[in-house]
Formats: sequence, C-alpha cells, structure tokens
Amino acid sequence: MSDAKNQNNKKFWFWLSITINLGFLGVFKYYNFFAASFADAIANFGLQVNPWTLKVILPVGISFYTFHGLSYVIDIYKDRIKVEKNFIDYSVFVSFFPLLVAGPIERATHLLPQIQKKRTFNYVKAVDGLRQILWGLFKKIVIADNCAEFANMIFDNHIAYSGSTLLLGAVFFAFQIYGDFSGYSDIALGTARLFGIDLLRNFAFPYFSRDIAEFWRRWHISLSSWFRDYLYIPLGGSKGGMWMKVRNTFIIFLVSGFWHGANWTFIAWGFLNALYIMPSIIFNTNRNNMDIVARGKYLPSLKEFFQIAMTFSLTVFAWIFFRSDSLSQAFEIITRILSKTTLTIPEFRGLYKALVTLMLTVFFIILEWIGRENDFAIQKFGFKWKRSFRWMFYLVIVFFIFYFAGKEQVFIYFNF
Amino acid sequence: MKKFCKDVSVFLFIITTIVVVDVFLQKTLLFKDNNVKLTKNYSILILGHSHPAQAYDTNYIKNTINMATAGEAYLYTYFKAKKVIDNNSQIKKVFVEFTNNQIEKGMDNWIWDDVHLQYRIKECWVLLDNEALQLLYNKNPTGFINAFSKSLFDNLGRLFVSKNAIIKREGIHKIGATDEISINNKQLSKLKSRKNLNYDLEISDYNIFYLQKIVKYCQDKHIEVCLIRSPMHKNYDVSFTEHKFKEILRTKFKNVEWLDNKDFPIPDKGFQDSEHLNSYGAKIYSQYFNKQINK
Repeated sequence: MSDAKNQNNKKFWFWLSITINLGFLGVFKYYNFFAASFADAIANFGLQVNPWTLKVILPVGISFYTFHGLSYVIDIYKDRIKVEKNFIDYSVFVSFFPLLVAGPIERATHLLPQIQKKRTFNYVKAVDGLRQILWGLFKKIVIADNCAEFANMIFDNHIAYSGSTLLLGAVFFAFQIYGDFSGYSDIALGTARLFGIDLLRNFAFPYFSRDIAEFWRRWHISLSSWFRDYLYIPLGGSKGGMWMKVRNTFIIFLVSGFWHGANWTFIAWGFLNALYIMPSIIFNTNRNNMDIVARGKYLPSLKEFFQIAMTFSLTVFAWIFFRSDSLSQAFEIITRILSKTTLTIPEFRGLYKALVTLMLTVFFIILEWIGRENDFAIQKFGFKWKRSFRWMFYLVIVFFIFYFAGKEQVFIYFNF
Repeated sequence: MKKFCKDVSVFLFIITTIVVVDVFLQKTLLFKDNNVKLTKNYSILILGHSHPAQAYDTNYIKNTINMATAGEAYLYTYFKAKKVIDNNSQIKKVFVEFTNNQIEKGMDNWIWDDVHLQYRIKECWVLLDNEALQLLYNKNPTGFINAFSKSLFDNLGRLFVSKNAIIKREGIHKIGATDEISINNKQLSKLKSRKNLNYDLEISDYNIFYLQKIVKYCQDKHIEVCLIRSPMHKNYDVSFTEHKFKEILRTKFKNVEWLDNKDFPIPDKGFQDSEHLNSYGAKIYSQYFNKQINK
C-alpha cells in the first residue's frame, strides 16, 4: 500500500486488506447468523430453506486481532505511521501474547513505536506490573468466578426464579463481567509492563460513572476509542449537525453490539445503550462528567451517589440482554423483574455462599473506590505504609485468591 | 533487575514458607492418632458411599459406627479405613458397601474429576500415600493442583477446630442431613425407562483395585470384612450390570463374606429415591441389620 504509485492503487490495496480482514471475521463469526436470519426471514413468506452452515469452532479472540490488524492498515492508509518493514517487530505487534485473545485492542501508532525502540528494565514499572497482575487475578478468580456461579445458575434456570432473584442474578452478572474482563485486562497490562510495554488502558472504574456517556469512556476503553477513531469520526462524527450525531451514535453502538457476537441479544444491548446515551447527545451533556468522581474526597456527594446508582441500574438492566441466550429469554426475565415477585426475598440454592460472594464484592468495591484515582485499585494502596505491612496486604490478596477461589470459568471475552 | 529479582524471590519465599509450614501442620496435626480414636464400644465399622451412609442408622445397630460418605470412591475409603483401623484395635468387623454402580467406569470420575477432587482432597489428602497422590495428579493435573492449593487454605481452620470432624462423621443420620422425602411416581417411571437403556458396561478398574486393597488390609489385620449390598427400590433395575457384578464378586472377592440385602422389603415411603433410604427406611432396615449381625 505504501509503495502504491497513485492514490487509486493505494485505495485498491487498502480496501483489499480491509475486505480480507473483515472477510475472515464475517465468515467465522457472522456467516451462520446471517444464514439463519435469512432462512427465518424467508420462512415468514412461507418458503423453506435449509442454509448450509459452518461447523467450525470460532477462533479465540478473532474480533480482537482483526480490529488490531485493521488499525495498522487504516493508520498506514491515513499516513499516521510508516510501514513496518522489520518482520520481527511486525510479528510482535500482531501477536503480542498478553493481548492476543482478549485485548486491549491496540493501535499501531501506540504499540509499534514501543516495540521498535530499545527497552531497558524498569524496576518501578515491573513491580507495578506485578501488582496489576495480582489485582487482575483477584478480580477474575475471587469476584468474577464466584459471581459467575450464581449468575449462571439464575440465568440458566430463569423460569424457576422470582423477580428479586433474577434481579440479583443480573447484579451478579454485572460484577462477573466486570471482574472477568477488567481482570483479564489487568493481567494483560501487567504482563506487558514486565516487558517494558505500556498497553492501552481498558477500564477506569466504570461502575463509578455518573452517566452513561462517562460509563462508555470508562468501559472497554480500547474498543470504544477504536470505534470513535475508526468509525464514528470517519462517518462524520458530530460535525454534521444533530441528525448526523444521532445516526452515528446509533451506528457505533449497534456495530459494537454486533462486534460482541452474532446474536440479536448483543444488538439489543447495543441499541439500548444508544438509547441511554441519546439524551446526553441531544442536550450536549455527554461531556459533563469528565473528571474522577469525588476526587480527593472520601465519599461522593448525595447527588453523585444517586447518579452512580442510577447509571449502575441502567447498566445492569442492559446486561440482561447481553447475558441472555435469546431476546425472548431477556424479555421473560425483564417481565418477571417488573412483577410483584421482585418485592420478595431472593431464594435460590447456595444462599450462604451468595452472601459470602456479596461480602467479597462489597470489599472489592471499597478497594476500587479507594483506588479510583489510580490506573488500577491497588496501584498505590499502602504506599505510605511500612514495606512489611504493604507486603502483608499483598499476601492477604494471595490468601483471598486461594481461599475464596470460585469455580474455574473461561474468560467471557474469549468467546468474542 | 537485581533488586526486582531479589524482591520477587523474597515474596515467593514467604509464600512458599507459609505453604510448607501449612502442609507440615496439616500433615502432623490434622489426623493425629488421638484425633481418630473411637470410643471402645465401637467394634463394627461401616464404609462406603451414599447408599450405606443413608441406610445404616447406628441408633439401631449395636456397637457400630457408620463412616460411609456420599460420593466417596474406594481409593479414599481405603486410606480412611486404614487410619481408623490402625488407631482402633477394638474394631473387629468391617462392612464395606458394594453395589452395582461401584463397578461402573463412572466411578473413575468419583476418584479424580474436578468436583470430587475438591471435596476429597480437602477432606483427606493428608491420609493419601505418594502413589495415590501421583495417580490423582496424573489423571487430572489441573483439578488436582486446584483442589490441593485450595485445601491448603480451606483446612487452616480445621487445624485448630474440629480436626476430626470428617473422619469421625457417624453416618448421615447422626448429622441430621436425611429427611422424610419419599420416592415419587415420576422417579419410578424414570426407573422403568432406564430398563430399556442400551447399556455398554465399562468397568472402573481403579475402584475395584482399591476395594481389593481395603479387603486385604482388613484381612492382614485379622479383621473380619464383609461386602454388603444395602436395599434398593424394587423398580431399580440392576440387571444390565448384575452379571458383571457377580462375576467380579466371584473372581476378585471369592473368599470374602458377602451379604446381599438388596431385596430387603422396604415400603416406598422408606425410600428417598431409588437407591437411598430415608430415615424411616433406615430405621426399619437398621433394626433388621442389627438382628442379622448379632444373631
């Protein structure tokens, strides 16, 4: 592409590369979905088709490295970077192991220069990396895996449960997916830091967000910013007036939903989030909460507290679509949550363990709140303490990881 | 780099030291001989899985302790029995439950699948010998490491309180876990349909091997050993395994006493399900069993 003799030639190679990249994703991830949806649509007209479907396992992390690779191609096309001619450096960029299966989705402009330059060992960075790995393991093994047990049990047998239990199941899932994905990201970032490489931050305490726009600046940041830079802005962003802003916002949320998987539930989840964010787009309040909540204070104000609670509630509601196997399941769950049974006490097998899990989650939220001004919760935790006390704290975390380990669960985002 | 390596080494050394001390404490304290001493009146020991755990109510059987545990494969029973027998010379007779399901290949899962390892390793890794630990590790390395590391922490509490809770468990009736649930028509119809299964029987050699070890150990210690089959519901069809079951009994346990109470008449309301008695059924059966062994 960089050696193309003219603009048309360059364009040809660019689109060829985009087509090949998206082609793999389309075939492996979306072909069956489109084939089945097409058959369903045809069936509405009384015609029967049995489309040929692919019976292959979805390559792990395909959505991540496809987007990772696309960023390189687009940045070259846009002349933001030069072509990497060193095969080793390019290979490291494409297959850097910490981020290969579940991100963060890196940019060539950010990662390649770090690979190209000579790195020397940095003690502070390496120790910080280990700390982040430890925190990631805690999030995944203690929080996510324990919450998963109840979220799975409740969602998989949703018909048997009351509204209150289903609501609790959705809350468990909210912490499962946060612990699972941000835990993975922490492990990936920490591991990369041991090699002297800083990856893009992926999470910034999203559940302390005061509105949905802030939530999306703090949740899966590498994907949100990818869509912003490579889709929203090329589509015109917010420059073409209100209509274009609304249209482009819906497009990126729908595509983001679809990126997660070939299922209408993800599209509904994306659509719902687009609806949530719409008021702030229309009234131009989407950049109201740019700073960290209650910076320098122990507690949020009452107003902030209610804003956080409201945003969290909306997010939990949207997660119901994300976690459900089908739209009908999601609507059944929501119907039951909106019924009188939500006023009853939740009942399910393993209440004691669920209480322990909730207590662990509260402990986790407290630590996250304390550390919310840092890159990750325990980054600077106990820095004013004596070293022995600080190490004791890390040992306690290790103890928690062993003692409260939940049943082993595959990382959710490995499916994407 | 030097400082980093030093710090990491020190941190890992601290963790390793804690683990080593923990392992040492568990090894020495958890099943100390005096923690498995039974009162002198116990001369009969019942071992096995959930069937005997629920079938023998020792309130009605003289001088008997029921240490059967749900989901326990013979590998674990063997080491438990060894420890109890070694420390209780008053034990004169051991009844080991031997039912059709214990010859099936599925029993291998009871030995080393993730779920069973979680419970069994925690309960009695201290009792296992190197050969058994090696077997579990070879069959399920991840499950074994997970269960072992978790048990190192889970058992910390047991070091100081209720050290002997597991080994001294006296059957399920004494700990109040049984109930009055009775088998229902739905379960019965399910049993009938099971009869038509096209059954390809594979045998769990490991389970049978460890049952042989239990028998041999008892015999070596001059303790009477008896294999026993406790009552099962009449609709519970064992015909697809019965031939093989009897063959194993004949060939591998030919000099061992065999007591078959499978068809002992228990009314439907005495069954919790097709294989397990409830407390009502256990009472009827245990009274009979008491007479049977004390006549």
